[in-house]
Amino acid sequence: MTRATRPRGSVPWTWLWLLPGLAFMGALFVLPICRMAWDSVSDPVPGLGNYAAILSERLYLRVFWNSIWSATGATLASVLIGYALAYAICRASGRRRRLILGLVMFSYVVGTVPRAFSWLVVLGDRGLANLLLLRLGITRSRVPLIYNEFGVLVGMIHVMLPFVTLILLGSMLRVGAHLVPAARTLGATSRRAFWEVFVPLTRPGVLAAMMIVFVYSLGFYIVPAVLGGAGQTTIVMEIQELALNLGDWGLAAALSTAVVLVSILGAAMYVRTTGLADVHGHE
Amino acid sequence: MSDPAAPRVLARGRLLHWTSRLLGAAGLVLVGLFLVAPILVATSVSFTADTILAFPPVGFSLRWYADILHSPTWRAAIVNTLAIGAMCAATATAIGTLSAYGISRLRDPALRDGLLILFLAPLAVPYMSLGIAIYPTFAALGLVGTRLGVALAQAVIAMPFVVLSVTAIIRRRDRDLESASRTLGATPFKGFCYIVLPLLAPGIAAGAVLAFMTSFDDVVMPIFLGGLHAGTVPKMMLDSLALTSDPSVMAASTAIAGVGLLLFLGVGAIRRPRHR
Repeated sequence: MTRATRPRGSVPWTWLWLLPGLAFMGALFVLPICRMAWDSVSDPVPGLGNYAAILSERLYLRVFWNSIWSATGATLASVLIGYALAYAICRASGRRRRLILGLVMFSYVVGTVPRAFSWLVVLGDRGLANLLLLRLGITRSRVPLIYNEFGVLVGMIHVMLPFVTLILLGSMLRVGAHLVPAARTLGATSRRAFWEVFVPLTRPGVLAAMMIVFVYSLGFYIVPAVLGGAGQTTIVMEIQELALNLGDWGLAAALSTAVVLVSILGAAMYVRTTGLADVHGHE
Repeated sequence: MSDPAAPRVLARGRLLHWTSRLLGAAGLVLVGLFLVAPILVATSVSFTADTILAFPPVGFSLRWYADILHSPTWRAAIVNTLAIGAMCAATATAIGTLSAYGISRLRDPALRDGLLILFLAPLAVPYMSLGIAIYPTFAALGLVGTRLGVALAQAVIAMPFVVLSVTAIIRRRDRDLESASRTLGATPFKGFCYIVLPLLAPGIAAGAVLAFMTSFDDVVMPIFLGGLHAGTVPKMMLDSLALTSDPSVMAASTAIAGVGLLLFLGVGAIRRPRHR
């Protein structure tokens, strides 16, 4: 980016362009979140009472644990599968590459809502999976595959997989698909070239993908709502229950603030590991 | 090679090689099925003539689509979805474009990064937390339970996509044209309207579509801020699960998926560079 070509005397004008954005984000993002954080320590009475209640109440701890557990499972599984898938796309060429990438994109662009709902007719009591299990004689009766932990996990992996694959593919393409052949030319076996050259170089991308998926999964609403049972209440649903139905605003604000803090921590780690260079493109 | 064991080792190596390739291919097919099959299964069920949500579909009928189009509640939800999506896209696109342009003109890299992080930050905040945070403000302004309220909240979560999409185009655009227009006496405002906007048009259009899709795909803001009168199709789908188990929900789901697919293909057509 060359500075010399920028129009001169543009600084005051620049702030004029930024004014609507700053006002909008200030009024609808920054201030509301600060206010929520403030409410969490002041709502019924000033102090850390809400946070103490979260830590002492077994229900909230269980719900937190539920969310973190399923977010961790979804993160690990989708990053693992996504890595293999992205590597396959990276290595393939021509029609094969377009085909796999097309499948990933298709599943991505139909949206989260249809993807979550589609599992109802795949894993449901009268769904495809149970039909196959019965027909093939693997089970004698219908197996409960949704409204439990399993259904939520499958749904989350499905929703996250295309997203993870695209992030990882980006990082792999940056590393350069030619590095593995280069290492092989220098005498490394293909296994060594993969594990000792390719994997370490794509590690920042993997960390970034894990962070993003974890943050996203933690805040997931639709998948547990559609595919989870009573035991799969997540932190987000608990916040909704507290705020909308029980009217316990301070407690909802405290839980919500805790989730925001965890998420922002994850995002900050993302920015630290990958930087913003992708966005700006300073060389 | 004079080692007598060499051919055997080679054969074993080749066997290993082929088994691993075969396993790889099988895994790829499975993952591909995992990605796509559920959507296809749901689509097939949406055309069933049966009255229960079950696979395989029985016969072929469009009755569930007709049901949705004839039901006043579904129709209200469709109208809400489109109106909210349009308002969200318009707000996020207008503000996001100006902001991305403003950020790109800042000279201090630290300031540029800081502001960019501010505009990308909604990506890192779970929707429900944002909904909770906005609620008191909207309640004070009388925006809870209105389409505008839902649209504004969704514009916050769509903002990063517009800013990213426009920033990506700004990086590629020719800055000299704008400088030239200023040298020739155009005011910054004129330069922006006649030179910058047309150059950024593909990024802006892509950003607008992404913003619309964000609104379309979100169920949290309608649930949390929409109240009884600003419910969207995804919220209606979620509500209808509790009430009925007829296949209309799959028809709605398929319709949403179809719109998403069309919008994506539209963006692809916009972004593809034109050859002259």
